[in-house]
Amino acid sequence: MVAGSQSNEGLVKDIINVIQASDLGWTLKRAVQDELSKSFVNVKDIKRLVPVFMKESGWDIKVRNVVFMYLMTHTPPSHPITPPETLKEPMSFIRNAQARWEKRILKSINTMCTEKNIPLARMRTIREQADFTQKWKDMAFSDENMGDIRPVYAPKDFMEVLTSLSSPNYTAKIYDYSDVNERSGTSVWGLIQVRLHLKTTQQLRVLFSNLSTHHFQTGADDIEGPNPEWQRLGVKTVQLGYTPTAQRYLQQGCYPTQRGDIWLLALGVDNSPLSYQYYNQLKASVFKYELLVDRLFLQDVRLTAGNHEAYFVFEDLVVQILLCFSRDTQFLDHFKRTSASPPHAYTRNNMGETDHTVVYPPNGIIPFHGFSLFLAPMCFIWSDPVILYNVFKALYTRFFFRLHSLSSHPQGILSLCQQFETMLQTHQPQLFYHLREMGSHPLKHAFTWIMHAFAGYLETAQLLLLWDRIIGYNTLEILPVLAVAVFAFRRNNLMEEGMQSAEYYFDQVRAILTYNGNEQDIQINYGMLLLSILCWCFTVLRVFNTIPDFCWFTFSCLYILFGVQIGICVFVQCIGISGVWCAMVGFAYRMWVHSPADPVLSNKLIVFATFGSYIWANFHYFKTESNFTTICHLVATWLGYEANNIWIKSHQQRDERQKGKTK
Amino acid sequence: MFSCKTSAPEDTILRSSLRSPISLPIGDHNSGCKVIDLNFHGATVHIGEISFFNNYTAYITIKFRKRSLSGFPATPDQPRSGSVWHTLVPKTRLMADPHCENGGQDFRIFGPNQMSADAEDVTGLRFICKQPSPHWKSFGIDEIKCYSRADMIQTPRSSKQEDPLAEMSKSAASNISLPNAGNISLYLQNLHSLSSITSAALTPSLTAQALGRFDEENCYEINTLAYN
Repeated sequence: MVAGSQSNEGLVKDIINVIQASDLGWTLKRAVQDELSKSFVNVKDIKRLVPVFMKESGWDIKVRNVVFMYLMTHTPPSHPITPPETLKEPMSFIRNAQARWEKRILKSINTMCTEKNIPLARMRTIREQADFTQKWKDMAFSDENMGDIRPVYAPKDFMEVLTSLSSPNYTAKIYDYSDVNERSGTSVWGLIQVRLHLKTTQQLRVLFSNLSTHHFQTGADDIEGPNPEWQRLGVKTVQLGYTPTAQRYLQQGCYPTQRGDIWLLALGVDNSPLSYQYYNQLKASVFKYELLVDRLFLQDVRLTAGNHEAYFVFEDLVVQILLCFSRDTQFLDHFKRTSASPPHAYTRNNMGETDHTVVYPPNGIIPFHGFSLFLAPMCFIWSDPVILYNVFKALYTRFFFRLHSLSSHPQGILSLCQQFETMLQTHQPQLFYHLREMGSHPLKHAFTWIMHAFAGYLETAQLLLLWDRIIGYNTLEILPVLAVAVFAFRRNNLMEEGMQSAEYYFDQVRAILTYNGNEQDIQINYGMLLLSILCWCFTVLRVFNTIPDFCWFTFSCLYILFGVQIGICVFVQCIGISGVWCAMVGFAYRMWVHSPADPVLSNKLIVFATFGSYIWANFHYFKTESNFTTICHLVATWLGYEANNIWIKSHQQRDERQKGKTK
Repeated sequence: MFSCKTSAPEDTILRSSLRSPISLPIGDHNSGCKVIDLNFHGATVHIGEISFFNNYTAYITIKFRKRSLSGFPATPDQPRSGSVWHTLVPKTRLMADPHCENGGQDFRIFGPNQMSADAEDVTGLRFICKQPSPHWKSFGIDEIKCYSRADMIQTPRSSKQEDPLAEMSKSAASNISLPNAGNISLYLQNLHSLSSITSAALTPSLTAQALGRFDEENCYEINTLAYN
């Protein structure tokens, strides 16, 4: 272990370097220099006067803020012989799993590039740069076709990786006596298989003690109106300008009017002129180079933030900031604290030269489905893109990066998911077991909430109150606590939903018949059903002598067909009624082909229209749906055709028997 | 046999041999305790630091054996000092919870601050590893390395910096004809700027990073990502 004094010495040195490299360092030096250059200052008194001057002029608070932020975000310097990979992630199997996951992402991107024939990065021509500059303000409405670009991965894919992860050295088997059966001591009921050390409920109670009902809570205790006392305290906090005070204030939430100032203070965001210059530089990089990642971001914004009822108005702003974000190399620093590694690539000039690799994208972060939701809610607080960018940068490098990389860190997604499962099992065992038995595992619902930090799932006002607490407590551990609380709050509904099985199956049948509300599918399939019934009427009616016989036969067939269709859908978890009309068309086709030609032209037209529509609908689903759907349609048609064959034969045999009897 | 190969300079690492871990069973069952012995080929060493990779050991105790000072044979009342194991590092927790992964594969370093005795004239080390949880298929410690006290790797310390103000005050007191403080601060400022420029020139990569450049020789045209 590093000796305490050595460790402190290294820490102090690191902090001094940070201050000296920052804008604050230069401004501070200039201010001190100006003060000392005053004629009455004696050289002998400099050492004594500098601290006094710093305290009186308020500089000491700014320095204290930087020191506090450094201590909050950095781990103490490690011993020089510590292997660097263990600093990123000590558990080797988690490191390897992260590496495999990253390789999978890289392969997916390379395949996308090869299939679509798009370069990963290229320099724009002067003309293209000019065009791009013009449409910068309307980025979201650019006419670029994004139809064939899909997100590299979605939370569901990442969850599969998390749930498949297990320690090679772990065994649930405790006793191995030959005369005793295997007993699982800690049977893993949750989806997360890795056992990590988590905070107990009591420790969480102590950590989040300021969330207790004894304290005033913004968003909960002010339904009748804002609390003036709390507002006054907020003003005082901003005036004081001290980061720890702002963090403490946020533990109980803040009002929207003060959120901007308090967040800036609590996150230590400095919107100096230098940061504006830096943002412009990033913007210039966006204009200069075109990246594949740009399309991924654009597509993600269109699908998520731009498609959200609250955030769609900020679509342009979100796209602009995310494009600048992808060019920011300062994000590479955070990879020292995470198991993730940035992807590398060879530039065209240095193909295959390992010494000349570049990071791709420049910030090393590949976006996933819903990434823009981390940024969109903050657009309600600031409109200046530079401030927004700086706050997003602070939030991402402090919290959000942990939500999409495999890690054994207490705030990593693995720990958060396990915390959720453990807490729900502990406090709502019946609910947990019930949902698990229903095949609707709680984590499957809560995972996207946690991975998106509830962005897109809570109303913006509530979401920002939650993020207040994340900043205030400097931890993401509140996310699983909230997820458990949501389940506990909806406990009765969730328990009832399963208990009332009739209602459950009714909902399922409704979903099958209404295509989950997809209007296009409803129109196509119910149109086809109508046509197939008409076709059926014109072809099958001629066989029957009386209308009631025909009606009885038709309704019996429809009843059987719908029964079989719903049964299959419930069994294989699919939706739709296409099997019904396919079978009816197959039946009618066999009837039409083997019957004498119908002399009525209108009948002919309807039958041919039905067969034509049948071919069109099948071709449509062949293009849009999986091949399995088309195979099912063809099988249903063939079954209908064969059913008619059997029916006709039995019909003929019955007629012959009747004729024989009459003779 | 255990050979010490590391990325650190080899001369700082003590050459040692490792005996394969011995499990202490209770009847037919595993007791959750293993003993690993390390000797230094008969040499006596002064140990400054010990490092290893934990492999799911929950608690560790390190003991050492000193060189025998007397040539007389040991008696039951007075055993030879060479046969007595002294505690070097008392029982230390390596995993926060023995049933959980955390700390199971950490890289651990024990320095003088964690050692309860001065590890001088050491002829052998004994690592007593304990894992009370039955959930782990195997446990132990890997890649044990001992560093001699003389060559102990130090955290880079900053050299003792002279206080420029004190120097200035001293010279100001001794030399009455010194120019005024304004001039001195001006000179100091120039000197500081010069040193800043020099240090910036010496660390081009840092400068490039600070500037946010991501292209290589003004080229960032990429077709495929590298897998390694």
